[in-house]
Amino acid sequence: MLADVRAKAEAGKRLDRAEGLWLLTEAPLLDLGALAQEARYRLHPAKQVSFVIDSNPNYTNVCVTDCQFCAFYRKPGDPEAWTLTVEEVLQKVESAAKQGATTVLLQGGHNPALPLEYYLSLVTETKRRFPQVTPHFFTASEIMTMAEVSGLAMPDVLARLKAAGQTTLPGGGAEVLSERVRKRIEPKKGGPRAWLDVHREAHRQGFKSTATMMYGHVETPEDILDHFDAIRELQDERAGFTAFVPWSFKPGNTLLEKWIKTYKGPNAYLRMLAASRLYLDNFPHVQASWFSEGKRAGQIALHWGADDFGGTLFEENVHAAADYVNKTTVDEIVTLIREAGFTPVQRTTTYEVIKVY
Amino acid sequence: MFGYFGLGGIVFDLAFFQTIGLMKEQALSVVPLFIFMGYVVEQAGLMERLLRAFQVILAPVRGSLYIGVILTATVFAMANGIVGAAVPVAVLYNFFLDHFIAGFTVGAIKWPPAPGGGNRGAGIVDSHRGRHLESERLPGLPPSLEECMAVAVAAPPLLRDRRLLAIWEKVRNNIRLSPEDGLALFETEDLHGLGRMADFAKSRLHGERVFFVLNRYVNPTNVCVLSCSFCDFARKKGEEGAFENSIEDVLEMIKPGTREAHIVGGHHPDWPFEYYERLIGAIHAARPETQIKAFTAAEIDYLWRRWKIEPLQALTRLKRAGLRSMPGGGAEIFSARLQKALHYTGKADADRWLEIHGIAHSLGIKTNATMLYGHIETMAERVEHLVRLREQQDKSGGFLTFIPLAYQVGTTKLVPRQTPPTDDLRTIAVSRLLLDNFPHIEAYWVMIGEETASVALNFGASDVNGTLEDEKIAHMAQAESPAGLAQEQILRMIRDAGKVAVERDALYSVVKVWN
Repeated sequence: MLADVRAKAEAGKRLDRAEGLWLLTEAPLLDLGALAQEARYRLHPAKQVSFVIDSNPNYTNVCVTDCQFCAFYRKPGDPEAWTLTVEEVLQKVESAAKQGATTVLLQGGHNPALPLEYYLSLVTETKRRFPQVTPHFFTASEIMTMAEVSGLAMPDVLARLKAAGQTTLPGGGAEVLSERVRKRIEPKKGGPRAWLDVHREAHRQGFKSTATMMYGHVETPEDILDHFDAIRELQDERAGFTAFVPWSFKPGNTLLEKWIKTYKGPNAYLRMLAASRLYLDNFPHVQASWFSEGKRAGQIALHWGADDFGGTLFEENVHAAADYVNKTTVDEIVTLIREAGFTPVQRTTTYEVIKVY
Repeated sequence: MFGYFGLGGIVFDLAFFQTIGLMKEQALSVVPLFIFMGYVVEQAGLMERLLRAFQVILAPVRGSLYIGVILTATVFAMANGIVGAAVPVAVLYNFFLDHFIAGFTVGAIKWPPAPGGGNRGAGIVDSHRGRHLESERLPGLPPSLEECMAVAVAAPPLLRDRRLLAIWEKVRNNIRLSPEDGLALFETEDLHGLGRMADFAKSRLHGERVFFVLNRYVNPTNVCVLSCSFCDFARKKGEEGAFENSIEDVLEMIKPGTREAHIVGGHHPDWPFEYYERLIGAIHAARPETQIKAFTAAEIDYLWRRWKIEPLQALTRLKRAGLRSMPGGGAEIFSARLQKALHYTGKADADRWLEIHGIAHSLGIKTNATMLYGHIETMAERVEHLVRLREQQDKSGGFLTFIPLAYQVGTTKLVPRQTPPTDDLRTIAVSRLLLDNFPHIEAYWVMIGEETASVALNFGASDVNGTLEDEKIAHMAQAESPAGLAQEQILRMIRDAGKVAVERDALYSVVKVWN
């Protein structure tokens, strides 16, 4: 199988499901890493690893979707629930911009009390006051919430956001794009369709977006392959995805914690990255993260097919709500990439190079 | 009838009066009326509508079903009296059947068991583990050389560095590597190829097995006459942070059932040899089930320097007192250059360190070996260190495990940052390949962190040390790992790497195979 997969990958042929399953289950971890590095160097011959200076604030934790894997949300009326005003959010954007951020990844709960105008003014005000910052705002399910509260169709919501100046969407909320998994851990968020439709429409309107995956809960390798297949097919249509970003589910303080006590370890992460690099042949970038699995595991992961190290994440609240905290600085990211044996490159939200270190 | 025999005819009169009395009771007439009311309420669907209304109102609250039922029942109890509330329970029951069971099986009541079985947490979708466990006759048994060769021929590792091809030929044929090979391995860009060869060598010895021990880390004292540049642990007598534990203190640290006590300490200026001898004897008497692994060669050498007790004599007496094995510390790095540069000239040098381990081996005391790396040493010095250990093992054969120790920056700051995890993986893999006569290479999680240790189990390591409980030397140098791990965390580290966890004692006798 190793030789077959290697020959196919070298010839630029697409891997099938059986081969994908082998990658996810049986392939020796180190051979898998070697294959993924070969694929990575075919796409990006330079020994460079990119990163973005960004922050990841949130505008509300009010949410009516009750996902079982989430420790961040509070129901409307909960004493710990909070929603920021447009001005308060912009203060966070300003603080990120002052630290050199070129991207602000803003997301929040599904708060039925917020009108569409709130979201639109977040975009317009960010663009107006901080033109150097790309508003990387609102995941697919938030777009659906906006459609519901405004009565507009989802494509119209995207068009309004685009008119307000937004050009990219973050890929959160995909979890695992499998009917079975989503029904079990997030029954109120809709099936895989909901997420895929928003990204398809966004790509049609010229948005760029990322695809994410949160693994390590109730999914099987087959579910992961469903996820891979779905985003690979969507990518064939308009190539609107810039990168694939997997991370492991953190069970702290969530409803799922009752069944799943710990997060998957570094070996599982390496396997996931390498398998995605090989299987998702039409994705330009695969992102490893210093953040989600730990700095040292992140450094190792740069040898398993990833060519991007994520962002500086000056602010992060969602993992933190699950008692998982990890912080860094630009200098440290640059050092971590160097130590792993690569040249650090600062990039924009859409992976254009800003600075080679 | 019984009444008639007991009391005579009067019983019929009594029965008559009782019946009349009951019929006079007015409250009884309420019973059919309540039943009628319950029927009317059910037919009108009041209960059902009320419950549904509560369900809608409470939808965003956790446990809304429970609260809804309580509230509905409360409203009805107020309206009808408690007796009345009991009647519509039948309605509730029907409502449950119709509306809730179908909806809630998906949610909480009948949570489908996860594939892979059980709620073992990390192992729920342990996909890449299945193969090894199923394909072997017994989990974790080392495969024979023939089996390894068959695997190697069928699926040779992907080697992207051409220099590795010749080395791979040697490795698969079990031919000893030269120091030049060792240097090439330290320098190669092909981390995966290196790791695969080391994993092959490890599998040939131990299959999928990885060993750990339930142990306790004990430092009798950190008072030390030396001032090694890399050490954050040692203190002078009376200095802040200095500690001296009594024998009773040490005994308290070692809980019953501990398999291994790992005992190392500073070179104390005043404690006589007899103190150490008594310490070992006391532990052995109090905890006969605990195997005592104590005193580095540097400490044994210091006992000679300070008290002129020959190592042979010291080790003989300590063995008699209950010493079972020796840790591998104090080797640092075998280099006269670094011994001077890092101020450990007052410590056993390479020759002396190796000599003392040789003496221990001749007495039947098994020992470990270490190497402190990731500071200012060169790759050639690492290779030299490993080759000298290999030569000693050829001579005396008593080494169990080699433990590469990543230098902790702490406050000594010989280098600005700890060596990166790729260097840890590389060092472990090269050690496995060069030290062909060592049974085990250890991924010491204290120094390199749990994540890297877990990945290292695919880079030739076959041991992760143990639970430790309260490690001090690395943690006084600000190591980021916890000071001790629960057994569950150790198991997770091994399982994530797709290996079979084997609990051992200090001398590597198998205590239990964990699956």
